[in-house]
Amino acid sequence: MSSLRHIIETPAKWLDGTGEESEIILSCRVRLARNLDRTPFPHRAKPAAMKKTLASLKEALAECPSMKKAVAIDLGAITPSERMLLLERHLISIDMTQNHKNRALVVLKGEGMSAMINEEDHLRLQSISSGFSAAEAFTRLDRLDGELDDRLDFAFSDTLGYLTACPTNVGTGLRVSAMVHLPGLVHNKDISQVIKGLSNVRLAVRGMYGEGSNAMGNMFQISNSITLGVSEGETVSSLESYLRKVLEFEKKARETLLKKARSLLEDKICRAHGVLKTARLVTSREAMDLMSAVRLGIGLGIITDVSISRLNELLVMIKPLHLQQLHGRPMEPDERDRVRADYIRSRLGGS
Amino acid sequence: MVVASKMICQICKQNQATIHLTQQKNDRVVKIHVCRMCAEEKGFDYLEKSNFALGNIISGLFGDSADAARIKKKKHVCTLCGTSHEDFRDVAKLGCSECYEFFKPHVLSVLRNLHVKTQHFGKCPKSRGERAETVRRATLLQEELELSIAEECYERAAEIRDELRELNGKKAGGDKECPR
Repeated sequence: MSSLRHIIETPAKWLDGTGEESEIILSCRVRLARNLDRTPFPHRAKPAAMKKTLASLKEALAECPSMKKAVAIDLGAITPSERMLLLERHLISIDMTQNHKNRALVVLKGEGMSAMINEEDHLRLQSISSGFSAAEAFTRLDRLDGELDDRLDFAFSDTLGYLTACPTNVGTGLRVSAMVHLPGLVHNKDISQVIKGLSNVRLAVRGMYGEGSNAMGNMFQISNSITLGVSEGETVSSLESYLRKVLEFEKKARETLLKKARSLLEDKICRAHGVLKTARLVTSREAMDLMSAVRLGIGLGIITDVSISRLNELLVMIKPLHLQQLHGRPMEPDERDRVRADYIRSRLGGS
Repeated sequence: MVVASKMICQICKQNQATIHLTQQKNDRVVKIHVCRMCAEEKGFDYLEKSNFALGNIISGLFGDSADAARIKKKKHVCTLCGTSHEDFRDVAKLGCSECYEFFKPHVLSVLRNLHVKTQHFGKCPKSRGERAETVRRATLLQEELELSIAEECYERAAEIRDELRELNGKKAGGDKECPR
């Protein structure tokens, strides 16, 4: 629990809004899937084998210079609420909140880099950075991968590359994704065209919490879907170049919106700001929508007294389990809406 | 039996067909044009060894070939993790690194649908780097060789063949150091 408290009390570095274009591109995340050679993947492994894998991977990670200051959390040793909290911080998967035995999270202070052990693959390494920073996040993760390569025998085929439980990840095992805020494209309804265009070049677009989740607050995740037949460098640079295009489209959409209906847009943004600073009950979805308007306001220079980092922090802190953690006890949804509204007001200097 | 011409593969309908087969069946001639990748996937990349039956290949185009069915019947679970062909089909996941070899024809078919290509072009573990690079180069040369034959550039084809021989010698040497 002390390791977990340490995580909760330290803000995630990738939320600090310091990266390039961080109003539109919240963060870039890079993930590598790795497995041990000739060892059943977690979904086929017996408990004793999982335990052995867990121990050897924890040991290997502890020896890596990149993970020197990391903490290891055994998911079977924490409560279901604490696992949900880690999910809300994008540190573990939905599956790991349910299947937690012989599974662990190893995470660096600041959450810039982490590793899930015995998820779908033996190892899921993750690196997240603020803003337009896929290359930077990859460089960091690639270094950790190299350090692990010195200590472990990874499942690898000369023709197919790194072997993974699901064939969708085989090859590089690399998934690069960017979390983007696209209110302009949603408003002018070009978003479906953009999503279609991206899927034509084999890029997937999903909601903020990955597979199966809906887009809330105009937030989308764009990621590569091809991992075989392309190098890591090509994957990162290709995603970055399409991301630049999306960025350009979003900026153009905003310009048009401003030209056509500046007063209406300013009114919508300022009202959203006002509601967040004064409301007494706010649902999660409403908060996401209002924060999207405020975020757009910051991007357009209409709102100047709220920072991107403050909005990013709110994105995580207003989630149910984080509010519960702040409050110190479980809450019903109505009470949660009240606590959420109180927290937002306190962080936005409201009354 | 193997002739050269520019045609599209009858299986994937994308790549250039570089393997062309003809066989007399009863009183008619049956022709098949496929790319090398599809030939491998359907498990009839041994065509050039001459002892194949076209009936098997044709049934391979539309489902399990007699050969694949025989393999399935004989070895129905992965010897390392116990994953069966049905498990793989139902959960769409492999059970261990050995499954990739065990279910190779099916895995290749799935991979080509997902990723288009079936040759890794990324990073390799340090211990495998040189060997993996040799395999990659050999794959590229094989493709170039097939194209050169199709385009009747026989001089270039001969050069590539020599280079391939040299590379295949390296691969065989590597096998001793790196068994898989």
